[in-house]
Amino acid sequence: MVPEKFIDRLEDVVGSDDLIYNSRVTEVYSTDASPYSGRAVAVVRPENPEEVSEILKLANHHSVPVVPRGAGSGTSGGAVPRNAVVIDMKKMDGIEVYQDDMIVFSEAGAILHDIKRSLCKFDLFIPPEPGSLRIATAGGFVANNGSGKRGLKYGSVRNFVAGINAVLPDGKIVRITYRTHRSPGINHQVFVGSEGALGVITGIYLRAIPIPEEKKTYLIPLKNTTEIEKSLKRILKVLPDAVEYIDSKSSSALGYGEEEFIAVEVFGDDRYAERVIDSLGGISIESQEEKRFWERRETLGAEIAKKGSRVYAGEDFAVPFSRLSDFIEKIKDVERETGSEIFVYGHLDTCNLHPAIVSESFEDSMRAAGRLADTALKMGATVGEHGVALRWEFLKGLDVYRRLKYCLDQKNILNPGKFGL
Amino acid sequence: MLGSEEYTKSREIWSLNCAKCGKCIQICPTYKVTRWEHLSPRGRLILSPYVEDDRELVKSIFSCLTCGICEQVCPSNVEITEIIEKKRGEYAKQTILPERHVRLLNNMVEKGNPYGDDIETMEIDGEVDVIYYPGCTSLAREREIFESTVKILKSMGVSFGIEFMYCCGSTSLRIGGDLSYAERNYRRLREVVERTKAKTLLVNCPGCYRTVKKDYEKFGGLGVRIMHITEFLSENAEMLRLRKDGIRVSFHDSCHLARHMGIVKEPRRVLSMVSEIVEPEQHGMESFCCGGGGGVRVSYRELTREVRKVRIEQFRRTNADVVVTSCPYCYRNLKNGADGLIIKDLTSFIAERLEE
Ligand SMILES: Cc1cc2nc3c(=O)[nH]c(=O)nc-3n(C[C@H](O)[C@H](O)[C@H](O)COP(=O)(O)OP(=O)(O)OC[C@H]3O[C@@H](n4cnc5c(N)ncnc54)[C@H](O)[C@@H]3O)c2cc1C
Ligand code: SF4
Ligand code: SF4
Repeated sequence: MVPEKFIDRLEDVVGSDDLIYNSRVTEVYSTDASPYSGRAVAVVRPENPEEVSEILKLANHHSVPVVPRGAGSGTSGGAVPRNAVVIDMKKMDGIEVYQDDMIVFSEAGAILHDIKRSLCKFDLFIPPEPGSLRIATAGGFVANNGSGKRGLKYGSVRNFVAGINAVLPDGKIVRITYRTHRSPGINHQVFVGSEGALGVITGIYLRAIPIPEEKKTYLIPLKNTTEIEKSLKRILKVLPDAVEYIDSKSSSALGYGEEEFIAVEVFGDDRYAERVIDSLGGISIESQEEKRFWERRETLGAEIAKKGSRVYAGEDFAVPFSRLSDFIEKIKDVERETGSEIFVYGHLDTCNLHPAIVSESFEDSMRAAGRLADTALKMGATVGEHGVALRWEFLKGLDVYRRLKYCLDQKNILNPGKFGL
Repeated sequence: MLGSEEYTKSREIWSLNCAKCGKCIQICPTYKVTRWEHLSPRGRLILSPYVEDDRELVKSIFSCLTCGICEQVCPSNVEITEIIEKKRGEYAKQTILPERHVRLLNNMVEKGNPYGDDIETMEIDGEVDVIYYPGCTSLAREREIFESTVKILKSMGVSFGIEFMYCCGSTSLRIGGDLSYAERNYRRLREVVERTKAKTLLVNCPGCYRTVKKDYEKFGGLGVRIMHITEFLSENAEMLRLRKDGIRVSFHDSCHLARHMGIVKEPRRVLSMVSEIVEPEQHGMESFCCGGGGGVRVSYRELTREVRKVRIEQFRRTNADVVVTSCPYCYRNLKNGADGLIIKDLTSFIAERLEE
């Protein structure tokens, strides 16, 4: 139980309007987009780094666990508390664009789509774009080292983090302020991908690049899955900007017929890329059709829920390139064995697949998810971009994390229970 | 195994077909102005298994504007407003209600309408083509809408009669009250339809429109064409003789009229006969609620005020001369927070422009 005194002091820090305690509604903050749920003992909403610092000092003093929360769109349970106080960051949502530096400073709670819109006014953008663009916060995305499409050429969001302001578990405020397109990474990069366990990110300096004058999208049909590696090798050679896989089920859900296909995005007027894609039978889609395709791709994972009980059961696997078609075949086996429907799509340029499970019930979905995880592990796959959190069986090098964690958070108050610790 | 069992208990939300993706959160007006997730669609669904006397929980369920914009973006077709309305019914049965909602339901019991007023009743003598049913707000609060409608219908030479005995029951349904008020009015209207041999039943209020057209189907329907005034004017535009004055008008789509009933083109067709239309950034099926829907204005006025502020700002950016709506309730609410903007109901706006 959390001491009453602690709650009173929390109220002194954020005021009663930004504290929820002793109410059923804390259940909303006890889960995220994953199948996991825990228990939030209270929810607080700080408005600035100083308040975050006061909250952490109190939590540290009273040894009360705390969990930073963005939009709760994570699918690995990262924001799921276990008898912890939830620090909801969404009130801290300021955005400032430094146009000439091509840098945007975003507070942790700003929504990615709002950042995109602010940058767009200056003809700038940040290439990694998750399907949850309109949902996720900058803090959550960076804490998960999220990615999305465009992973091959641009990498994950880590590559775009120039600096970070954060509060350490003992309440110390650190400001690692770089407005440059290169910066020493040893300090601020610690927080990227730390999934809320090493510090509470309050603000992020992100690198942006100019929006290309022109971009094109091509759809390349696949006759069968075994062709995929061969085609992919040729596609990757032209260094396209995004390469996405859509299996036949997802294709029909998107309204693109029954054939599986690869979608390729190319910035600029690249004749060589066009020739290669053409030789693979690719066709280009334009203007409204192109916009519609990417928008629907963005929500494909949720869209298929029309077909049954949809659970985001940790369906994010980075697979060795050599095992790609093999893995897709094995997913089909799991589908046959469990009776669940599994829609496969994902970012082919990083071989990061999202087999999305739809079944009759929650239990069936979880059974299929377990089988998928076992299969993935056997194939040397790991977590791609949705975070490890409660799927710690995929994490290697735990010793390094354990030591880091001990250095920064001796009382283990920040997001405990994640990564298996 | 996937994670620890401790975290994977089954939840009722799965049976609602909600994938918990969160796509509905940012778009929800009550979330937008509070940034509390329990005041968002996903939050409300997560809390939907419970009926408990807990202030924030009750607020979560009863502060939904039933605006339906969440359903517009939900990729899984979750029927969010229906789930919330059903839940409200369960709360009402256990008399767990926000304080002022209790008063409103008492008004229904005592006076048969949400305002608790003695509203004058009107009956039709003989046969007519059109039954005009003005509804409580046009009669008891925003009388000019009623008077303008009568003026317009007369100028068009429509054979009509005015009927008002009971409230349509909409407010009661939207906040979890029982069906009896709707059923009582249904019986009454059925009798009037049979007696007057009318072919059309005309309403001003989108709340009445939805209730009479959709909810009364449960009782067997009225056997008459039910039309919102904007639909009627659009369809009979050639009978309208209007003065064009070229002012710039922005139209506020009421959630019930646009999203719930699909009426979007009709009011624009009528307005474009007299003026230039400039759209706010959210309009038509994507319209943003005025903040007054779903009974929220009754018990959570601060939410109504904040949502309304957002909407008013959207209109301010259009630089329109007048903001027109075609819902007496939206009109009333927007007018109360107009902050210098001119707000009109479509009927008054058109009545003012009738050729003498
Ligand atoms: C429909 C859908 C599509 C998705 N598509 C993609 C995709 O294409 N690519 C991708 O990478 N991911 C994707 N995701 C999952 C992805 O993990 C999240 O959308 C995003 O990274 C999480 O952001 P959030 O704000 O919701 O964070 P939350 O879920 O709230 O939290 C995620 C983690 O970050 C921590 N955290 C949050 N805020 C802070 C902070 N300020 N400081 C420190 N730690 C913090 C939390 O403790 C938690 O561990 C998708 C999810 C959904 C539902
Ligand atoms: S109906 Fe409107 S207010 Fe209610 S949950 Fe949906 S978006 Fe929010
Ligand atoms: S958009 Fe639909 S599926 Fe997604 S969280 Fe909202 S209600 Fe659930």
